[in-house]
Amino acid sequence: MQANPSNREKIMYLPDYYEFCCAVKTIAGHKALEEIPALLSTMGALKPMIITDRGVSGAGLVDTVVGAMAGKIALGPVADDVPPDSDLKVVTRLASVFREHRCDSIVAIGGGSVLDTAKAINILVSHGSDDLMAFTGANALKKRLNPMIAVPTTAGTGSEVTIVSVIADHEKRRKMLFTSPFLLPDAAIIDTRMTLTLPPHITASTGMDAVSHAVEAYTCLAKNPLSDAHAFEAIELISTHLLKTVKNPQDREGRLALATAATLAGIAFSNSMVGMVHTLGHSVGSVCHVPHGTCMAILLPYGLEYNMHRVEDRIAELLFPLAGDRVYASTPPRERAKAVIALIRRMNQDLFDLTGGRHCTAFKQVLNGQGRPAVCGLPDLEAIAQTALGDGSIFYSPEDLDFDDCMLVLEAAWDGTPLDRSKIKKG
Amino acid sequence: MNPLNTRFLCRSMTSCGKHALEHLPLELTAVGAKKPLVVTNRSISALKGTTHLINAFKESGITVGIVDSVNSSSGIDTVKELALLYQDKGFDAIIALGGSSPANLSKVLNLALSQTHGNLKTLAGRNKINRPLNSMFYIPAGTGSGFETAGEALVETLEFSSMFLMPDKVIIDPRLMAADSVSALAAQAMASLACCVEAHYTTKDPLVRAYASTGITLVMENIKPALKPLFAGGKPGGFFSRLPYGKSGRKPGHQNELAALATAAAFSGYIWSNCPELITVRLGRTLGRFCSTLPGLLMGALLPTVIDYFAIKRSPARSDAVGRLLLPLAGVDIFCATPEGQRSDLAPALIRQLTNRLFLDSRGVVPRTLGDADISFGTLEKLLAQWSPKEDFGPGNEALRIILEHAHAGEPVKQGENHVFA
Repeated sequence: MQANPSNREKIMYLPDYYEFCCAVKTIAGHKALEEIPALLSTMGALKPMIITDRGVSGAGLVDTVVGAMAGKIALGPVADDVPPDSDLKVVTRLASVFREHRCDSIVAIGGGSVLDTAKAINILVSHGSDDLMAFTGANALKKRLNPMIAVPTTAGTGSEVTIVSVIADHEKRRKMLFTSPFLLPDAAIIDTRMTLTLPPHITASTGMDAVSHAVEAYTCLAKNPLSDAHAFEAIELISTHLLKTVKNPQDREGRLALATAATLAGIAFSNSMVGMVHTLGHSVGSVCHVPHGTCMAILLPYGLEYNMHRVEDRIAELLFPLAGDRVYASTPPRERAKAVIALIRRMNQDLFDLTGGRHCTAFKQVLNGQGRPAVCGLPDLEAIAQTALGDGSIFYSPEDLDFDDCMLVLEAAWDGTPLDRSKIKKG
Repeated sequence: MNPLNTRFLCRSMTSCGKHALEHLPLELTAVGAKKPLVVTNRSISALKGTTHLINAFKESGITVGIVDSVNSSSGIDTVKELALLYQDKGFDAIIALGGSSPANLSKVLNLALSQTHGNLKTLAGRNKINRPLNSMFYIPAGTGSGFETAGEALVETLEFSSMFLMPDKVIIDPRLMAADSVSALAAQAMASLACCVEAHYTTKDPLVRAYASTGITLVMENIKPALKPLFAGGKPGGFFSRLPYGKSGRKPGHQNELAALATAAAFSGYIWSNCPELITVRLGRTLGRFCSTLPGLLMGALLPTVIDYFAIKRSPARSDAVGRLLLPLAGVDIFCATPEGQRSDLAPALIRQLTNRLFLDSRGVVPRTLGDADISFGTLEKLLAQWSPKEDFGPGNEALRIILEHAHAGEPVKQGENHVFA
């Protein structure tokens, strides 16, 4: 808190400098898909190509989208073979399909991989190029791309509102990063029908993924007032609706709230970056292939425990969106941060119970199907910690992290026991 | 509050704070621009507002052109002249620097240069522009109306309205901040507050609320310290000695506070583009056409009464929505400490308290009521006659009459006074 000459304590954190952008038209509703043809029309697009993956098309979601658009606009081909790990060859091949069918726009339906692939295809077709490598890195794009509409199907990743695309080149065993404001989709369509069939454990992990985006946006070093406001709104929506929606998957209001919250959280973190929960989570995913949402759910309380001595006030403020005004007011200020961490653990445990143990609260619980040993074993932790040290998000953690710090957190998160905060090297 | 059938778009990227201008060359490069044209007015260039801008381009390899002849009377002829200049000299982006006049003119200039179908007259009106325009940047300097970033533009009698008119980038640098009159700065801040507050309690869209709550807190925390140096000058309503930007001699924090208010103004422009039905803004603008008081000041005087009107039915949802305003107005501690039943009274009371205090400190320059602004009852009748009866306020605009009369007297609208509401 700063003193204020107006005799009013300043409640807003204002960094010396910050940027904020989300130039994506966001339309949310139970019948939002029906807006797509008109949206494309206002952008001068006449023939969109639909890009998705087999899981999405197999679940009948493409049919729902096509049904909402049919008769209102000419549809291009449906490409439903985007792999889970976006790939250079796929991008190049689908760009050719786009050109062969003389499409002029893209509707991408899916999660992070589909949206990343669609963004990369749009780079190639908008520039009349086959060389994606020519556009890697930050701000290599110099002109607007063809119209693109994102239809997220997971209520977690927030990819529909980020300026990033990550594409793997499997032949050369590397990942290429593209960042540009031109990669923002023109519109994100958040429609209840896209998430209504998500199974409870996926609803749980994607919901906690979105919570982790919002909480890290609010507590890490690159926060700003607008990312804070988006994060607050997201956390409040998720804490109100996640458990209810996991209990009752047909809760359409809950589905809409969670999907909207995921977008809000995506906007928040893409404008403020994330911290050590993602640093370690990316690495667990990379080394052990544990799903991202599961990593986030398990690691979130540990990330807060680890950084509490640095940002206790910020963590404490989250008690309001997580638990409401009465709990906030009745909890002593010095206890609020601890209460936030306890609440997140409680949410994870409730989700564990509601999903029959499929929502994990510790890495040792993440099984390789049919009761087989844990996907993430104790011997993997060193490789995970080593990988984490090279993750870009490490710089945004309020407290520094070295190899030993990563191990300290990973060992506790593997076992599911609270962090021994006396072992944290402070400063 | 659950999001239902919501839609939101903010086309602009906002960059705020220390050395924000130094990011401009990079931002221009990111959109492929190498030779921008800066559109501003003489008061900005005379006060060295352009000096910081030019310095930001040093060693960037970017050539900058500056036109500083724009003012409030610049019209379509000026747009045409600048369009020719832009094309002849090979400029490739527009930077509006200043307040309303440069912003309005730059948007229309960009439209003239970008739109190949139709002339400006056919593009005037609502949503006649159907595709993205060329890149345009807006850099606030001095004070503005609070709506420079909105998807609207007014040149002569031509009014344009489209999301595509919103600037691509808004860059707010404290070094360009200056205020020379209480009325102009207070009007900008109160316009922002009115827009953000009304959007906050009338929307279910959490994206709108995120911008609105941030804008509200920025105004509440910075309006008094930003105005304070002007009060101390002894002539709250008049002009103060104009000093170079960034060297005003005022305490160092002052320009940061002005920058915070400029940020709130940028947000209110974004919100207004998405929520064009906000009654306080529309009433303030319409009334402003009938009198010499700045519309933003009128919006400030109208705001508490418009909130009263909204909350009068005391439905739980409306009461909650107004009560929720207390969160950005006063912060999470005060919000949570205030019993639920008191919040919807306390929120408008805080706004009244603010305008009353500003009235006192400004020696009457900032009006608490429409009466303070010397709005006559005859003027109110003119507004009532002009307001379309089918809009907002039910048969005969009776509710609007009640709002205006109460805002004129500064009386809260209460239940049980035989008021007729739509």
